[in-house]
Amino acid sequence: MAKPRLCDVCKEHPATVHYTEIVNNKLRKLNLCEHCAREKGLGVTAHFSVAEILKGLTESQPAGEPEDETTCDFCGLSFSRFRKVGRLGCPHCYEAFYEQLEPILSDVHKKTEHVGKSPSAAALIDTTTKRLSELNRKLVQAVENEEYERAAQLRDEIKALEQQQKPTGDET
Amino acid sequence: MKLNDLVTGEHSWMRANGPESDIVFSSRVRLARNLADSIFPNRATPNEKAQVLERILAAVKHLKEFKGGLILKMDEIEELDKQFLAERYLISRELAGAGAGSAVLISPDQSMSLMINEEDHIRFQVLLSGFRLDECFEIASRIDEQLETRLEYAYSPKLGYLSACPTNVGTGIRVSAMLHLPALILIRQIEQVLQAIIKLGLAVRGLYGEGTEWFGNLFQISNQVTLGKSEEELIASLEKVIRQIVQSEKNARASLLKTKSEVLQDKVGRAAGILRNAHVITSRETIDHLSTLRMGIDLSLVEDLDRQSVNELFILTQPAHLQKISGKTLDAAVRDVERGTLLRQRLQNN
Repeated sequence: MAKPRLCDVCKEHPATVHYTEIVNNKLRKLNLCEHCAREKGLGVTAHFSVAEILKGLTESQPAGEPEDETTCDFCGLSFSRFRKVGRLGCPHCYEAFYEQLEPILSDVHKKTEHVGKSPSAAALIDTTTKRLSELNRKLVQAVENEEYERAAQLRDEIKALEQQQKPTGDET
Repeated sequence: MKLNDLVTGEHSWMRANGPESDIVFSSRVRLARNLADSIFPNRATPNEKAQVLERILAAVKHLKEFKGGLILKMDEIEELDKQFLAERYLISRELAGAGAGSAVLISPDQSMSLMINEEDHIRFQVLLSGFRLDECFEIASRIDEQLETRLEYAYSPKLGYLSACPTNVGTGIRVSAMLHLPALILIRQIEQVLQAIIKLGLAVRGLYGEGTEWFGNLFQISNQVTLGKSEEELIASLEKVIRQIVQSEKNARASLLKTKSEVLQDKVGRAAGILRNAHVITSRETIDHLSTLRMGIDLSLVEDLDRQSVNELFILTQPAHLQKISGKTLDAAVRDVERGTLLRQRLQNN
């Protein structure tokens, strides 16, 4: 990852405060260090971008603290290396560094658990729905052909599948 | 389809025909996905990248959305072509910098593109004209569901879709809209609006210009959070904010028309005058005037031009586009002349 952006004013310290202002009808974005931001009277309301939070967390190793040498068995990435590059090495890094990543995730997303789409759910619904429509088609056919024993069997199968498809805790 | 067909082809973005397309230029949904048990591109060896590319290419060739479109490998196309694709929002700047092992698929109508081995193994986007975030997500979801039957995604029930950068983990979704807000800038309310957006936890950046300078009055607003909220929630909250911004811009335009109509007409007239008559013009000056002209069309202050032709010019006047159109490399000074010629031709008084 590139060096952190330096403060637009002092050009010495990393810019952590990002501010937008309008001067002479022109929009200007300022990147300031905390000190210069205070000098300009920009308090805590100035915004921190997600990338900057992450950068801060990954790049500013507190002085005196030993480097975290936890390593991902699958790809060999160490956590200290992740701090420098800001990118994980493989999907297994999330397990390997879970303890260290959790506070970062919590800072960036305010939450640490996924809500939303999942691959298996979509695939599962798809196959169950497909299977159900196939069984229903066969049931109609069985009734038409007066194969009542087969129809009863199909009906039970459909019932069982429909029961399965209902989300748990839906009884109430 | 060939890469050069894109030059004359119409980008869905250019049509300027979706809902609220006077202010919302485009809507976009991007999903990031990775393959289970595969090293992420930044850490993969060339060999590992090549294998991932082959696996993904085998799966994506079944996608009906990309039938008849383009598959471009980054090590097989010219630098200029990469820049051209980036100017058209079909690839990211990051992919433009990538080489062997990376590729892009582009749908025939250019509304969809799928990047392989960018920051993540797969990133695909749906970009439509106007305010249509739901529709973008619906299409993206369809692509996603086809892909997951052929590829095993890196997914954890707790953290969702796993991405190379923890800022994308969870849904892996980036929802964004490009807004044209010239009136809010003219009445000097943009700062309040932008601050409010940021306070709501959304990201906003100028479309043109880098770092400290924004121009062209175009802003991209997007979600920052990807974990702990569903795709629908993320889209709904962005939509709500965008609706408010669109309303503020409309109010600003109405108030300008009412109280400063001659100032507004003067601005629009001057922008049109320069674009129609300049012989040497930079990209930045062009974008600034196109923005003003576009607002003039929205407010019926310009009668003989339509939104689509102005939208097209935002794209066609960019450096790589000018060079693709003329079929040769041009240095900056020559491009400024070419740009003037193109603008005069396209904006002739009818």
